[in-house]
Amino acid sequence: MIAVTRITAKSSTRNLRQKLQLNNYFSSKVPDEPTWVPIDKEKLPKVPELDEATVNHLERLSLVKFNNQAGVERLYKAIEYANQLHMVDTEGVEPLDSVLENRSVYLREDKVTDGNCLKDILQNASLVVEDYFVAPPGNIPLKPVDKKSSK
Amino acid sequence: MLSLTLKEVIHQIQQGKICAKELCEKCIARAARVKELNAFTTETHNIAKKQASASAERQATHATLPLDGVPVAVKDNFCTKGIRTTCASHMLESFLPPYNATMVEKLLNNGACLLGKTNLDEFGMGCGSIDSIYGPVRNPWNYHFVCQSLEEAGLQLGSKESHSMTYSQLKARGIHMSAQSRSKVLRQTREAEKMTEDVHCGSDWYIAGGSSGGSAVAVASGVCFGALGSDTGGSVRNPASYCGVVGFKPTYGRLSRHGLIPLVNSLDVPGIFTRTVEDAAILFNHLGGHDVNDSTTVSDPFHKQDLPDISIKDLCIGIPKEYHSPGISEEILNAWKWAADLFEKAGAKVIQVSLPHTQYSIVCYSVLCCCEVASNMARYDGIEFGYRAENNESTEELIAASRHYGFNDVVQGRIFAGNYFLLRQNYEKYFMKAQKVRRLISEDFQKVYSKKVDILLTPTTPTEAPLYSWFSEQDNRTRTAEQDVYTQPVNMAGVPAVSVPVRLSQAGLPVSLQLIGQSFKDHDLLTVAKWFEQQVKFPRLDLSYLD
Repeated sequence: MIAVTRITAKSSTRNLRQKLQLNNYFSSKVPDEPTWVPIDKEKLPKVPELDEATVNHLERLSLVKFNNQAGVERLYKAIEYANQLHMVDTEGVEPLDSVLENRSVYLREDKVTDGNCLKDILQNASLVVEDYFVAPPGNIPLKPVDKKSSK
Repeated sequence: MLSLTLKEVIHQIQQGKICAKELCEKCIARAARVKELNAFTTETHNIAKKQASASAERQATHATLPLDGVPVAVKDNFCTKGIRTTCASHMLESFLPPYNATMVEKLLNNGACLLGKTNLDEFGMGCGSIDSIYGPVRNPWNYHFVCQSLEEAGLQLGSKESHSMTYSQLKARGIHMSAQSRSKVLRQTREAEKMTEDVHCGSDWYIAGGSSGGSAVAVASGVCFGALGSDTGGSVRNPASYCGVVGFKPTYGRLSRHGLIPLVNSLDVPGIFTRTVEDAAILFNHLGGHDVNDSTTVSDPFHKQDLPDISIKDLCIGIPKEYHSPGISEEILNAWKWAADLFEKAGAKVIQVSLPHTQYSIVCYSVLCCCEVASNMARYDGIEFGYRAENNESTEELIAASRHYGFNDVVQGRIFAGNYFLLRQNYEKYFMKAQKVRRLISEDFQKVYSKKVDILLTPTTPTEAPLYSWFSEQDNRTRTAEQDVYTQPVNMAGVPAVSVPVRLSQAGLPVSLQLIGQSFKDHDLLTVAKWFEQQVKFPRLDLSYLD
């Protein structure tokens, strides 16, 4: 009987010591709960309808075809996600386009430093005629594809 | 020999204790044993052998170069003269650059041997190294190699044993659990067993992270001693974290981007993978400095420095509270807390700080990235170089057809989104807005550092390496939004950061933390990282049983 009590007492002090160690182990500097502000989607701007004209325009700019509705949906989601930016107050903030904005970046002298590499350059072109790159007729706009008929 | 550090290997080669040729052969043999990890897009073993022979000749005459005979790998978005550079895309599948990227040139001029070009997400767009035309990269941790399976055929039960051991380890540690949490652990254990079975049967594996997953795996699996990656939003630190190696992203402007095929010019930085922090510093010393071919490398003098042993007593470590984001795993959170305490116990001043715009950084990143991608990808028209479709209807049709085949859905999606954000009516609303938010993010860092904080300590990734089956359930954009939360703010501000592996999780996967330094104080950051690394004593992966 005595022996059993002793074991229990021993194990409870061990538990206590472990609890203490655990408490000690956890730093108070790292927050215990996530600190992000929940975003109320209702407050964000609505994604405008991506009508055929917009889609065709984007295809022409991108020179890639959407081909199916999935591509349009992917774009919709990307815009919806980006709209969270409108939660941030940027009144009076200047845009930042380079982290080196306060440094003068180096410009080298306007001298020819290489050349005579015609063969090197042309070797990567699939079609060459007499050292010229070859392109089919220009100034013909991209034909739009019908998104609805292709799955 | 393959488990040495880069520093040790350099020392032994210089002393003539290791022959460069023999070392190269060993690395090639290891590469063959771990080929199924799919770390390489192109192996350049013959080139490496020639380079190793040249190193061996220099060894014989005692006129060695600083990195003589050191086997390295380079992400397949750095141009290599005469060696195809694909960006893991059909667009550049047969592209032969006529010149070396400055980073490659510096490695080779210092005597390093190039073992190959490493696998990545197409054009570096992703955080899993699964969106590559060469197939996904696999994480070597907890990976069951086919050669192993052959040897252990019929011994499938081994997996179960290892997992019930983690459960009993939990009990052995006396962690007091309620009935509810006990059943949760039991359920997790069962799920883990199921997962382990999948892993052992080869149908599932842990992802390497990305986009420089191949480089991380090449270093982690012992194929090479250092590797180059590129880091736009975390593409070096993220895979380093999952693969248990050191991943260093230097200050923007320190390393040349000349010949690095651009993803986002204002964020891209060449990065370094090694097994130790000191190794990263050695490579950084040889790679750093101004480059006439990249006007965004700063022209002030770059000094090579050895990392001193320091006392961290005078140091102030900041814990940015916003880095406890929703979705962080218990495992990572505990490691972070433990590390914060470790610094405090060693005498550093550890304080909680705030980087208030952190939450919006990943959104800002998604917009800026798409915009620059839309602009950068405009160069691929199939005419001067790259894939050219069989379409001669019109120039526009030819370009569209070439790009349709040449780019995957992720690349195409980012081009569309970027062009949408750049439309005349959207330019202010999205692009300019994102650039303004970027300034606020950058200023968050400056404010913290101006208040006497030396280094920030954060997690690198919200979880340990996820399983491929889980990771591929969601699209690339969703996964990037989850996985890059702690890494991309660093690129926004241009500051240096390093991911250091800290310990193994219950599942036996690396858990890593990130140290963020101040602009152009890269060596100071690495010095603290070295101290930290010495305290945590991370168990590096040893695959010597495969040889």
